Order: sequence, then structure tokens, then C-alpha cells
Amino acid sequence: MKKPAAIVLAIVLAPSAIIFTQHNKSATPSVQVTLPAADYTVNVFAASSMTGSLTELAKSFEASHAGVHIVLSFGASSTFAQQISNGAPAQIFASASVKAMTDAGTRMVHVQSFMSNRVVVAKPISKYVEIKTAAQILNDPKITWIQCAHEVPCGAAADKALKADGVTATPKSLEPDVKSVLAKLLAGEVDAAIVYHTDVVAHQELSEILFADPATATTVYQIGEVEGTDPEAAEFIAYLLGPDGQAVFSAAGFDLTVPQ
Amino acid sequence: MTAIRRQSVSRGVVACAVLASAVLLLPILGLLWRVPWSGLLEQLTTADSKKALVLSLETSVVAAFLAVVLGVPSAWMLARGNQRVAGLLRPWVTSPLVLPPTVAGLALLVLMGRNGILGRSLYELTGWAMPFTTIAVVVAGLFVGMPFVVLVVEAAFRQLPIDIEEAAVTDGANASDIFWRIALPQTRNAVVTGATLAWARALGEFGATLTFAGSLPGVTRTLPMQVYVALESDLPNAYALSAVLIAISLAVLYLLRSSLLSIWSSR
Repeated sequence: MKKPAAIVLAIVLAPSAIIFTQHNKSATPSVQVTLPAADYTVNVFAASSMTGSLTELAKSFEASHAGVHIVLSFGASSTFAQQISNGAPAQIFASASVKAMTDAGTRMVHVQSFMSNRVVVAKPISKYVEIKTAAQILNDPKITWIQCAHEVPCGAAADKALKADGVTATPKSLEPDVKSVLAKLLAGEVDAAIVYHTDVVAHQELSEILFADPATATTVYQIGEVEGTDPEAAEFIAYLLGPDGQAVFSAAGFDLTVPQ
Repeated sequence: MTAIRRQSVSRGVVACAVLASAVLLLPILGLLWRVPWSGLLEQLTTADSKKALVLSLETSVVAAFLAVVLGVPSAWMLARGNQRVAGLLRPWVTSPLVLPPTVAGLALLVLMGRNGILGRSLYELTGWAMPFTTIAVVVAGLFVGMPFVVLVVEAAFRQLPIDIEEAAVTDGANASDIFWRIALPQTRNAVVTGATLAWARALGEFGATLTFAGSLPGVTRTLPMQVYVALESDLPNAYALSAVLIAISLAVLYLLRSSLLSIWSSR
């Protein structure tokens, strides 16, 4: 083969080889090995509101459990529910709503509620300081505000809270997940946005206005294993539900008292 | 197939072609298999579906029209103008072809958002900002669609015999005459092809529209966005809307079959 053709072939084959061998790394091993330094990967699908806290907890878990790699994927819980019910290779699913966990289907086992989060009206900390209620700021025709789409947990909770608070104005956009809502608020493209309390805690430049009825504005987080998952995954769940996990989630602004 | 064609196509080539077709055809056929054909009309006439369909069609047509109005003169300038300038400008003008759509949307937001480089002055003067409006959807469609017009039409302009234009100049034609009465009439086919490709591209646009214009039914939620939202809660609806987009794509490619063939066969 001529030299340029060989170079092109190598450039094309190398990434393909990497992609095809990496894929097998994340599959659940079918044989349990008891060698002490066995490499094991735990695939976690989690709601994007847990990005900061779960990343931190995964690192500390990996530090104390040699050979275990936690692979985190963050996104809208409803999307993950779809993927899991269609056979996606997750071992753990942490959803931002009970509905999303239910929608994930019968593959989910050992499901439990472990914390909750409130949706709030977030705004830049220096603006609208005199406004005290959600209805006041959102109903104001001069205010541009956005929320998540009705189909995702953040949006579903927002809808309930808006209705209970008597907000009649409509948002300028129904974004596909809370990350894009937050991005637009931080970019200054909107005056206010309905995001989670934990998002406001994570960003010092934002402050929040609470909805009047906390029960309607709350969404309950659930965590579960995908059936057939090995003990290492259950260990990570136990870690998240234990004192280390609780400390991190609590600091992030999650409410550890789970409403029944 | 004529005898010589059969002799030129080896079994290995056929095998590759079959594999290629499978990679492209099977997912689309699979999707069409899942479409709820019996309840299709019902799915396509839900309030949100209708809004998405109408919005997508309106904004993509306007975007394609603007792509032609702005793109054809640009293509003429690239073909006949200062070639060093054209060489520098061409990658930028055609970059949306390769730019990831979300990056395109972000670029538009940075320029025309409320806090944007130009958008801020606009907002302070008029109280109006482009994001979250239907105009933003059109602008996003124009941004991603115009490169198709420029690419196709410039290629056609370059293939025009230069001696006709030279003869016209000696007969007293000015630049405007050459453009409108000599070049354009001969490249009608390319303009239609470019416009159609721009329209199809604008219709399918998702990432740029979402980032720049947002997603509100009836205002900014286009058909691809409605499919994305429906994926979460109403899968049959997602399949039905996807079927519409597939049908439009196939129709566009069928209508353009001879034009595309002529673009590929020359040069």
C-alpha cells in the first residue's frame, strides 16, 4: 500500500479501535471475580440537579474503594426513564421525581425516596429586591421569565407551584431541562427563572423568591438499582444514603426530610 | 443494467453498498414501522403538533427566502469579485455547514441576546430583544441555511461561460445587467436547488433554535423540538411527527434528484 493511503487508514482505524474496545469496558461483568484489585464500573444516571453533589461523592467513594469507577451521566430524569425502560446499561438511577422513576419501569428495584428539592423563582441577587412573592414577580408584564418544559420533573413541579400561587402570566420558553433554564438566567437573557433551590445555593450571584405553598413546589428524589446489578452498585447507594452522602446533599441545599 | 455497467461493479462493491444502505435505511424504516399509522391524523392534529407544524413551515419558508435574497448576491461576489477577498471570506460564509448547531445558537445569542454585543444596544433603545421570538427562529434558520445557497449558486456562477459576459460588456452592459439579465437566468436551477436545501435545513434545525430562540409552543417550538419534547411523554406522537419530517426529507430529495445529479456530474 502506498504511504499516504496507509497513513489515512491508520488515522481512521485508530479511533474506531478505541471506541470499540472502550464500549466493552462499561458493560456489567457477568462473572463475579474476587480478586482484590478488580476493576469495576458503576454506571449512574442522575438528574442534572445532582451534578455538583454526586460528582463530589463519587470522587470520595472512589478514593476509599480501590478499583471501583463511578461513571456519572447527568440529564433530565424523564429522558433517562425512557432510556432505562429501553434497556440502557445503567446500574443506578437517581431521579428528580417519583414519576420519572415509575416511568423507568420494572427494571428498577430497591427504589426508595431519599430527599426532596423545591422549585423557586431565581433572579439576579441585586435586582427586584423589593419583590417578596412569586406571583408578584412572575405576573409583572415587564418581567421575562422561563421554566422547564411540563414533561420534565422541574417543569411539572413548577406548574403545580405556579397554579397554587395564582400566577397567570406565561413563560417565554419551556426549556428541555433545568440546566438550560439556569444557563439563560446566568447569561442575563431573562429576568427570572424557575429552577431548583439547590441551583440558587450553588450560584452566589442568584437569590430566590419562594412559592407560597411548599408542598406544591416540592419534588421527591428517588434512587434505585437496575435489576441484576452487582453488590458494588448497592454499596454506592448505601454510601449516598449514609452520613457522608447526607452531609454533601444537605450542604447543596437538598431537603433530607422526605415528605410521605 | 447494461453489460458494461455490470462488468464495472464488483461483488465487493455491491456488498459495501448493501451495508451502507442498511446503515442508512434500517433506522428510518424501523421508525416508520413504529409510526401509529391508524391514528396518524389524530396525532398530527393535537394542539401542540399543529402549532409546531405551522410554525416550522412558516419560519423555514421565510428563512429560505431570506437565504436566497442575501445568499445569491453573496455567491455572485464570491464568484466574480476580488478572488483573494473571496478566498478569505468563503470559509466563514460556509462555516455553518460544519459548525455544531448549538455553537451556532450560542454565537447568535452572544451577538443578539439581551446582553449581547449588538443586542444590548437594541434592548436599551427599544426594549425589544430577539431571543424567545419567532424572528429568532427565522434568523437561526437563515444562519444554518444560507451556506447551502451560497455553495450551490457560487458553483453554478463559476460554470457560466465568461465570454457571454465579456460580449455583453462590449455591448454596453453594466454590472447590474450582467447579474440580472445574463447570470441569473442561466442559474435558475441552482437557485431553486440552493433554496430548497436551505429550506430543508432550516426546517430540521434544532440546536441553534433551542439555544437562541427557546422553546414555546406556537412561538418558538418547531417540529424537531416538539419531537424531542414528545419523546419524554408521548412516544406515538414523537413517531408521528418524525414520520412527517421523514416524508418531507424524502420529498425534497426526490424533487431535487436531477438537480443534485447535475451538480455532482459536472466537475
